[in-house]
Amino acid sequence: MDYEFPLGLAALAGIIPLTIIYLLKPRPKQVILPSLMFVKKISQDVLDSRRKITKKITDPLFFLQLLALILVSIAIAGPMLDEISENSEKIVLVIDSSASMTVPDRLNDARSIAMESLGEENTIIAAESIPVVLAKAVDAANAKEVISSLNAKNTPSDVPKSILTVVNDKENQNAKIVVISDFENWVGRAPETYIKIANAQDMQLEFLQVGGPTANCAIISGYLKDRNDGTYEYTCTVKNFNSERAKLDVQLESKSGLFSTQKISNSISVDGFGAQQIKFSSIPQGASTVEILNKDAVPCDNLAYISIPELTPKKILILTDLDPAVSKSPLITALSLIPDTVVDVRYDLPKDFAKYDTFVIDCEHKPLSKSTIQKVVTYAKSGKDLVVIGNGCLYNSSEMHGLYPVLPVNIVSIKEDNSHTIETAGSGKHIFEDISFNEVYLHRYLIAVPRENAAVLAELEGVGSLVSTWNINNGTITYVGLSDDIESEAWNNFPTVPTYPVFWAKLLKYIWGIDDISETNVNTGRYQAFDQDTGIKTPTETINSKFIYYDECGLYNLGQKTVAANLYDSAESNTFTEKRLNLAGENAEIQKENLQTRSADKVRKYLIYALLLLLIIENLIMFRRKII
Amino acid sequence: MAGAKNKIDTSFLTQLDKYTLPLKNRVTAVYSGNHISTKKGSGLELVDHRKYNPGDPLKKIDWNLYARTEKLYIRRFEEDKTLNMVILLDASSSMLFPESDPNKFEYASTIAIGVSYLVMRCSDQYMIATFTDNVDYTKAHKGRDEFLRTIENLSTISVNGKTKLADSADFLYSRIKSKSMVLIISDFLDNPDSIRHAVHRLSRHELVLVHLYDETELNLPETMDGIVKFTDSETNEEINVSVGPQFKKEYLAEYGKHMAELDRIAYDFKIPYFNISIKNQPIDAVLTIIGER
Repeated sequence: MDYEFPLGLAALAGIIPLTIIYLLKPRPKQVILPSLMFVKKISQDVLDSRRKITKKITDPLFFLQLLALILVSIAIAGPMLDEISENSEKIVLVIDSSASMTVPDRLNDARSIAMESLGEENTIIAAESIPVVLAKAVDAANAKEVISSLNAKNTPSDVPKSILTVVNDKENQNAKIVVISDFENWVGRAPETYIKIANAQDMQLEFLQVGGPTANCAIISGYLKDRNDGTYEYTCTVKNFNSERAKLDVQLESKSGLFSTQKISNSISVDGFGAQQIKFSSIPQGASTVEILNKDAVPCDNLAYISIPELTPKKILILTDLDPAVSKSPLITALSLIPDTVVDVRYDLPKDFAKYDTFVIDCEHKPLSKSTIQKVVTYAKSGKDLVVIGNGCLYNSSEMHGLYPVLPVNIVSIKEDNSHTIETAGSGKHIFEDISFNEVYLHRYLIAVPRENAAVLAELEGVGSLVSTWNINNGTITYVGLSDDIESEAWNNFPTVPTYPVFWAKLLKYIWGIDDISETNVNTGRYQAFDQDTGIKTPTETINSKFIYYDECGLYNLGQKTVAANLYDSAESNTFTEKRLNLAGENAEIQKENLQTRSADKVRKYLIYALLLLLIIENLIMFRRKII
Repeated sequence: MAGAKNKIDTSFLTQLDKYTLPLKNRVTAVYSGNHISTKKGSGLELVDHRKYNPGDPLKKIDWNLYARTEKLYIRRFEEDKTLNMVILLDASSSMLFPESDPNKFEYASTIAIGVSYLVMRCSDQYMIATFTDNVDYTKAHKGRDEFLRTIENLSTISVNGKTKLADSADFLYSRIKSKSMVLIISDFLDNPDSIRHAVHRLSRHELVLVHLYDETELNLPETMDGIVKFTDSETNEEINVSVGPQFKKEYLAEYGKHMAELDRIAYDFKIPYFNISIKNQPIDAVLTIIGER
């Protein structure tokens, strides 16, 4: 039997002096009794048994005190009893379903162990980069179904985070938490810490390890560098997680709508546990893959996806009531500064208006004709991008009201007030992080209330939306409530702020789905939220959601942009490591100790109760003997 | 009393002056005395008349009755005899219990003296015989001087030996010739068969059993707990016993059985049996024995 504090057993040495004290005690009390004949008559059997005991036992108090001493020693030592392991009512299974669990048999082993560990009420959590609750408080039969359908994802694991999530859930009190993992990627505090935390919350924590060292080769990192010629240089690191040298065939394949498909192959030799960098220059815009052609234990880290946004020149048509020949508005200037764009400014629609990617309507005094507005609305509904500037004309002119049905906001009124500041919101916080809205002063603006499903990127605090977008047929319609009128009665000073052109560049890139390269190449395990429901095509399915969790390696189509998700995790790919959470060594004791810590407390509690009882009995005896 | 081993309380004797010793059976002593004899004879108390038979003394003819009935009747009188009281006093070692005053022997001696005092006052004869495994038997006493000597003897007597009531009864059987009142004062810590035998042997006398006990003999003290080495006060036999509530219960049951057996013996022989704790006042014990309580 294991003890929490084995040195506590040293208290048993107290038996020796106790015995000596009782041996040195005076002989039994001598009593002269005339009626000894009755003592002799008492049932001979009883007397015989008593005599036998008498030979060994000198005083019941001795035995009470001996027992008390033993109980005290055991209570101090704290015996570890694994009481809850099999028949626990509440079981929380934290099953690692990260990329390293795709190594053959690891997940099967985990499933088997999980099924053996089931209790009456089971909660199953997949430990990926975030904890994913697969089932909550289900019976064993349902839990088995869930476990059977469990698959490993291509994400790193964060078992400690999953443990903390379970521990912090008050509903899991008195539950036994069983963590089943290969423990390849432990990025938290020492396991003892979690066990102590769990114990503090009246939970028991058990670690069960699956899988042994398995050879694997992986692309553990990838880096894209802009070559400023429309292409990128891709540098990746290939590592051989094996004790033996490996010869690897690496192939780059690029697919782009702009260029023809190209394939580049390369053979490299990597030493045991060695790593090698490979550079691929001139990665074109579009999607590319770099693949280690050799098959191994973890398939997902053999393939790196690259997504470089395809920057095709954009054509913008600005419909305005201002004569560009007389005065070029700040808006026209700002849009003209955006690279790879062609900006046309007109009073009405040209015949070939379909060639434009984006319409910008900026009428300050004179509205567009009714027919133009109808065409613009049709154009927007067909999936093109439309930007409408919130000038006075938009509210005052009944013709302009024809735009209202496609706007992401409801225009309520014009207001003059300069007490409000501009605040970014939602994705706007990221998009407009470099824009100095704090230098902008508005004294006139349209009160615009965002519609349902509209995303607000910037707002006037406590008044309404200032920049809002929504999607219609993959096209984005944007309302910008910042007039660019800089005449004597200017509505605001934003056009005079240096970051005004930056605002437009950022906004249009957002509308067109042109992200930074870091936004189109992400690591798996990332969770991303959107301002509105977005159609998403993952590597395996198409969904419509307000968020995306990158749990598979591959390409994700999010509206107008493509995101490449890769594992790129050395720890997760290192399935050959000897340095993982080793439960067979020192940590096994930790595991056992902590499994039994609670039990030790329980046993200790009962031992103390027994001690108190003994104390009471001893006092009663002493009181009867008139010793006290 | 100089050289006294046993303290005998005589302070209560004067309180006995107003009491006499009633006898259930008629005595058959050879000496005349104050008690009614089983024989009819020349006493003062008229019992009845019978018809005159030739040869009867003429002085016994009731002439007054003849005058009324013209028939000769002889007057018959109760013959007065002296009571012979034999007190058998247990002087075995067990009677020295408890160690505190008075022990059972002192108490037994005190009530023996009390009874003897009553007998002496009636000018009857009494004899106190102590018995253990043999009997210290002397001739019967009468009168105040002998009474004082008896007290002195009891206070100096050596108390030891085993209780052997049957042997003592056998010894006395042939020595108590006239029908007497025999008072056995003992703790009766003897074999019930031996007691029954003794009672049987002495049953022709007016027999009274006085059983003395100390409370601590019955109910072992609460302080007596744990391992106790018991030593028999008569045989010096030793037993180590773990004493607890259960043991005390069983011990009391055994003692109770023994007392019930004594009661049964008394019932079988239709003799009085008094169970007296030595914590009682001696006068109360004496009055209980003579039937005044």
